[in-house]
Amino acid sequence: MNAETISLSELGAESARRATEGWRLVTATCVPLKDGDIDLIYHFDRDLVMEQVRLTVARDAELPSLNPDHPGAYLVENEIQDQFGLRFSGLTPDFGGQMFLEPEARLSPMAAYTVVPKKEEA
Amino acid sequence: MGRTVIPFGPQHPVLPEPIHLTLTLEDDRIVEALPRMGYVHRGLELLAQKRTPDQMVQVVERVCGICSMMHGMCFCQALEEIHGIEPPPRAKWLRVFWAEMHRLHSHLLWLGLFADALGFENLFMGFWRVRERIMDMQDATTGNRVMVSVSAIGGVRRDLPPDLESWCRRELIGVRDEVHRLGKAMLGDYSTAKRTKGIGVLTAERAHDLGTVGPVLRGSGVAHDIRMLDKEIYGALEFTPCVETDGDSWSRLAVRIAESEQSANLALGALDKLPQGDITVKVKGRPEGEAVRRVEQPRGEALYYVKADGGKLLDRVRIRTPTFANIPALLDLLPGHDLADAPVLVLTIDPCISCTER
Repeated sequence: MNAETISLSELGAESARRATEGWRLVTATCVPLKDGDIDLIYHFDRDLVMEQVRLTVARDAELPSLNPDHPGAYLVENEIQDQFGLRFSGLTPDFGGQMFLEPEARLSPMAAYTVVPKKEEA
Repeated sequence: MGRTVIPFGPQHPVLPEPIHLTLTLEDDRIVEALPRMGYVHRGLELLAQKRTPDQMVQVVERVCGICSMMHGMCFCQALEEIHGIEPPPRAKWLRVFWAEMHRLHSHLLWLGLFADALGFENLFMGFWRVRERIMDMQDATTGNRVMVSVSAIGGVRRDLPPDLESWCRRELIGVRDEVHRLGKAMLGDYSTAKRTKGIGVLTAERAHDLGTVGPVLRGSGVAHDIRMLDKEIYGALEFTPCVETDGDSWSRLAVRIAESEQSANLALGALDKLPQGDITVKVKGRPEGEAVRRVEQPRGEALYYVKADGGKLLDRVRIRTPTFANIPALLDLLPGHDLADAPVLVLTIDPCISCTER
């Protein structure tokens, strides 16, 4: 499988470029690595040609949502939030990790470990 | 104007699948729709880290009952890519034969349910009666009516009994003719047109932006079908995707009727061109590497990502099912329509929540 590796800071520009050039976001795949980081692979399609973009991020990283460029991205991003505990900024609608999970769930089932955010002071 | 929020599903008289939507209404008009998932989630992707690749074939075949063979096929193709092996030609053609039978019985299932949702109980029974002939063929050729379990890494697990070939041909021709007759009755009906024409219009551009797949995308005029990539088999069968251009519920219905007839022809073509030979190649060693494969399931493009590190178990299996890709389009379609149209609109994406909540 071929995948172009990019950094987190390049993701926003890459997403915008792909949208402008007519690429469709097929989905995103989250792959936990043995060192605790996470590989995030974005699959894009244009005229049945598929290309992958890969970035490696820390488990508590916050990523920009691709939703502004690819309006269907929110569903897979919410799924990743639920199952792996990653956070996406600018995600609309944002289910806050509760699209699949119940509100009382505090662990991300697909993650080796979960970073639980601190409760805000009342 | 006051707003009313109502839960739509997971249990609903018109829906066979436990989809759950939160609908916000102004009077009878939907102004917002949000999904709620997890009702039947089974964590099958996580199970991949506890099962061997061979055992996982059985697991992924149970992602969905209606397109189980295609899930198994796509997973096996990804593993074959990692192993660097290619199934024998006979296995490839047999996969296409059973895959098209699956598409046909999936579409017939949906056509029956859609007819029932519109109030045509007789038509519902007609489509399901024809579907039984496909189930009989699957039973006769694989030993199972629904979960045919023919997929294997490196080929297929069963061969087609030679004495059944001519019977399958006769049955497929009969099914094709019946589908044509019933489809013509459905598309020519006044009530069907009233309930579907101009309802839930999705433009080609919006469908593309939302990542829509399958008959929903092709109903919006986009000739996108993963089968077009398979030059060896589908190229030899001169496959071209069925497309409608209006983007409404009627177009999505018409695409599925056309595809049902087409699948019968493709399965017949696969029987005609079925070569002699082995049905599997031996897989040596443990998989190491990663692969991504796509297949065109009845509801659209499915994607499998598989990663293995040479160990006994797989590192990661990721499954993106077509219904998951079509939910953004559904949520985009619903606002602006009456609540009474919601069941028809939900049905036109042919939702499979079993797939979505894999």
